[in-house]
Amino acid sequence: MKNEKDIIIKCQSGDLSEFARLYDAYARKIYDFIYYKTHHKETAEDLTSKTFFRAIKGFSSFNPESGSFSSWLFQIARNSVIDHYRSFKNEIDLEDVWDLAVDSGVERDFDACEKLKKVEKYIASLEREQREIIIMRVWQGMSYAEISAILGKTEAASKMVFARAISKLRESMPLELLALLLIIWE
Amino acid sequence: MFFQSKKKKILKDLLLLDPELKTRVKELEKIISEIIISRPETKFDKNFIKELKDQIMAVAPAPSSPIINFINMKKIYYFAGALAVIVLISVPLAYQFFKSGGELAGPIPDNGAEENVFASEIKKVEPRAFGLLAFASQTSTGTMKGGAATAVSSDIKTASAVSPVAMGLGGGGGASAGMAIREGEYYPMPPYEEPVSYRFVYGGEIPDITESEMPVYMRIKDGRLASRFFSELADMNLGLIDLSSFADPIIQNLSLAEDREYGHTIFINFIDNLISIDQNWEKWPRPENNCQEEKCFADLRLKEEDILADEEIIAIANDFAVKYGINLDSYGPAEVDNTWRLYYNQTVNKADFYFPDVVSVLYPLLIDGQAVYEESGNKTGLRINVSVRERLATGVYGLFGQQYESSNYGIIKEKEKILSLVERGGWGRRFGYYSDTGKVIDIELGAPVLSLVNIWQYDGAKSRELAVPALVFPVVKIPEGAYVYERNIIVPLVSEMWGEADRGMGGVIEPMPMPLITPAAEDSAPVEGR
Repeated sequence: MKNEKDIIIKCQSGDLSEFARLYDAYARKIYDFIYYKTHHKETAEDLTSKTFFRAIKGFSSFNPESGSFSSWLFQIARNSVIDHYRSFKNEIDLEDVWDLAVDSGVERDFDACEKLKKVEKYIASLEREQREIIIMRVWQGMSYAEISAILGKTEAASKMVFARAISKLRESMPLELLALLLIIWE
Repeated sequence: MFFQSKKKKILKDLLLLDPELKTRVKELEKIISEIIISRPETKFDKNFIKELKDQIMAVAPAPSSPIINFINMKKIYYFAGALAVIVLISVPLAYQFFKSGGELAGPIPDNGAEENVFASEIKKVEPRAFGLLAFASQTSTGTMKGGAATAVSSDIKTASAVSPVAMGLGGGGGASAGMAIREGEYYPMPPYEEPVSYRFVYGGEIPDITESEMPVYMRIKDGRLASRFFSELADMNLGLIDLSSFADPIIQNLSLAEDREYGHTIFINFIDNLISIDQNWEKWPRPENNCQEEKCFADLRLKEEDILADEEIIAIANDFAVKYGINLDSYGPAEVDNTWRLYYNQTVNKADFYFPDVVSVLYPLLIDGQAVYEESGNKTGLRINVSVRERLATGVYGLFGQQYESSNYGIIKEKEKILSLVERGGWGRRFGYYSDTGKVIDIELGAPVLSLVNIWQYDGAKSRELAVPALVFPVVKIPEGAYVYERNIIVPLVSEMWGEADRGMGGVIEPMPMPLITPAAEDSAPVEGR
């Protein structure tokens, strides 16, 4: 992609025609990120849509000095998911589907539920940041550099969080399920 | 291969994090292979993503007036740069807008291309970089051959390339090649008619040409897409043949077909950067195939009232361009090619005229803002054909990458020489018959415009396409009965091309009368009459 920084500068100068390039670079990542937090296609599409509309309308508020564009965009996505789940149970601090009980009644894709049956309780037991890094690294195939940009951490810190998450899972999960998590799909 | 490398990477990750796992590597490998599909499928929908993109870009605010923040001086340079770009773009666009009578130059669809590999580009190179331009063009699309009185002109050649039905000449007939000739019989020669010369007259002043050199453009055919498209295909073993055994293969061309009613086929020539679209004939109705007798064919013929107005034809062509994301940036406003009307006007028996099934819409090619003509005097460019019967676009021709090199060449300035070639009919008629001692009909020309003319040159099997500066004289008045179909007379200005033009000047090429038909040989058996 053409230099992301140049595109952002152009967008912030008022010409958002280049926003399409940012969209093309991040659409799939945002959708997958949200899907792994919702396990429901229609919800993921709806929240992806909200994420990008909020991003383009609020682009002037993005400050490149305070963080990367990916960090800003993924935070919008994260907030969209939080807003979605808080509409179900306002009194509980929900961030995503992992915080919900299996029988919560929230819509989830059947095949995702089936595939995740074995590992769900172990992933849900992780801290939210650990869970996010595990999913981004293992299922979305992001590099530590990308993950650190999104979370606003250093690469070393991201690796440390990943390592601690793996250690926690090793303590609780059978070995074959640990290997399940560590498959990177392309 | 891909899965193996990923599996190794996962194991490396694990071992780095926990070296104690070294003792369980084989166990891990087995498990990884068996449970790889456990990852949830996200059901990523490309159509949704594309539709969402369209919706988002539709609400993207238009560029607002930049506010100069004097505190952040860095932004001033970005603003100045953006302003310069805006000026550079808006001036030629404004020129085009007013030149076209206030109508925008064709739809410029947002085809969503991330990277336009066919983006317009003119690369300036050293003077006379294309070598000698003076050798003869052999198969130019517009060169007129033969006598001046012939009715077969390059206009018809252009039209017939579009649709054989567009010629509108009607009728048929002529002597069958199989007719028996009995001994002693001769077919009478038609009466000799004095050949007619056409003198193209321009009564005004040739504009002063101050430049001693002007750029000549050569289209680049670099096969830039040839190695990029579907490179995975080159690694495939088809079972019948192993494509991966071919050394360094590239994809040279590709054709695709729409499998739907009224679908199209697209042919992409990656070597010449050329794209054409045609009907997928299997998916279009062909009522003439059901005809058994002449009446059926006659009933299918279009009538004058069936012909669509130019505005409607252009609208159909424009809609097609938008639908398929055809980039019209390098072309001028659409014009309907109404050449068939010239033949209709000349036809005596208008009731028997074949009205065209297909009419061509021309988007004139522009190079560096200048219109480009063929040697015949017609504008060249992109053509979208429209079926009058179906009211649909049938094909696209002349769509190619607009990448050029430009090199300066010396320009002829002698006005008398220019006028002499104009009088004979310009570049397109330079080898044609002309004699000022026989019957001469004057054709009036208007004031010339400096433009470009397309010249094809061949060197063995290779061809190159040049656009050469030329004066274009519009034909403004044709006397009744004169068979002149040129709309413009072209005079190229590159001085080293004039040696070729000179060969056609001064000498008279006499038309040769037809020989008498000789009697058949005695042992020739007569053929059954037709």
